[in-house]
Amino acid sequence: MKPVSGKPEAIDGFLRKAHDSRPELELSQGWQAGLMREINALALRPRQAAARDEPAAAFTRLLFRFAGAGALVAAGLLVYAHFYGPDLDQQAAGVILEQPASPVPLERLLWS
Amino acid sequence: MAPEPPHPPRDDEIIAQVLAGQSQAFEELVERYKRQVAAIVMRKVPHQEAPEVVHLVFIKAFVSLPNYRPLRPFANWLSTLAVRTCHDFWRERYRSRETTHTGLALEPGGRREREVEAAWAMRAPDAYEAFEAWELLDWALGQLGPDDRMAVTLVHLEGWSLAEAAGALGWTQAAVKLRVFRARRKLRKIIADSLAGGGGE
Repeated sequence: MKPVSGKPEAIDGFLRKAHDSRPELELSQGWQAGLMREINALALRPRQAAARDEPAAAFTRLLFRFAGAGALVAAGLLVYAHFYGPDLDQQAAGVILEQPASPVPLERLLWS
Repeated sequence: MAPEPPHPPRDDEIIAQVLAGQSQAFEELVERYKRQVAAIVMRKVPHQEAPEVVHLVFIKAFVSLPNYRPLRPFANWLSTLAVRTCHDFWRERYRSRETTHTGLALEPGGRREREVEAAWAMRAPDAYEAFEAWELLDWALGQLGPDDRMAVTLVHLEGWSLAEAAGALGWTQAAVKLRVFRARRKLRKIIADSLAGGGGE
């Protein structure tokens, strides 16, 4: 490689020539076979990928996350009320914990 | 009279096949455009990493194919994807370089780059003879940030217009112009300094 003078035009010319002198890139058949293997593997799960990319699915996912976080907070408050709450709150929490599937009578909730 | 040979399928026909679930049809697109993508990538990332980056470009193209709208040619869409993948490559490379503090030691081909760096640091008189021009250019480009590097490569070294570079990188033309101006000045200074230090005398 020949030296270059310090003039800006010469430097620019040197840089462009250097950039153009990069070696060619050879892509082998093995490279292509590897790429297609990965493409075919990706194609086996198109629905998952489509579901991931859809904006509506992203919103639903967000909604479920909020719901999950809300449920955890509610459960934590329930346990807290059961152990440390004032008398009536404690009773109401106890009823909910004992019979989580059946609704708590309204009067109990009102009393609490 | 011999029947006319069937015309090769158009890009949009192949894309429709791929989207319909025939992933094998994608190989025709790879066959058609691998040279074009390789030509873009090989001038922007280290030579030994280029096949991996070209691979990544086609994987991204396959995954993003449902988002492709045939308002512009597939070749242009793929070129933009290739440029952005190279940009991502450098951003990731610079980030890991900053976080690992090991410089180029962990990178494939890093040893060669360090040799170039060391030769310039010592102002070795035969540095110009010992390395290829593009290796010195890579070393000089390594002094720039990833954004400056991409901008100066596209516009200054490859002759893309500001509009083309802005479109490919997703920036405004003003941002590209500013980065090219700054990066070109810096690049000239790096080369001029290395010359003044005795590299080319």
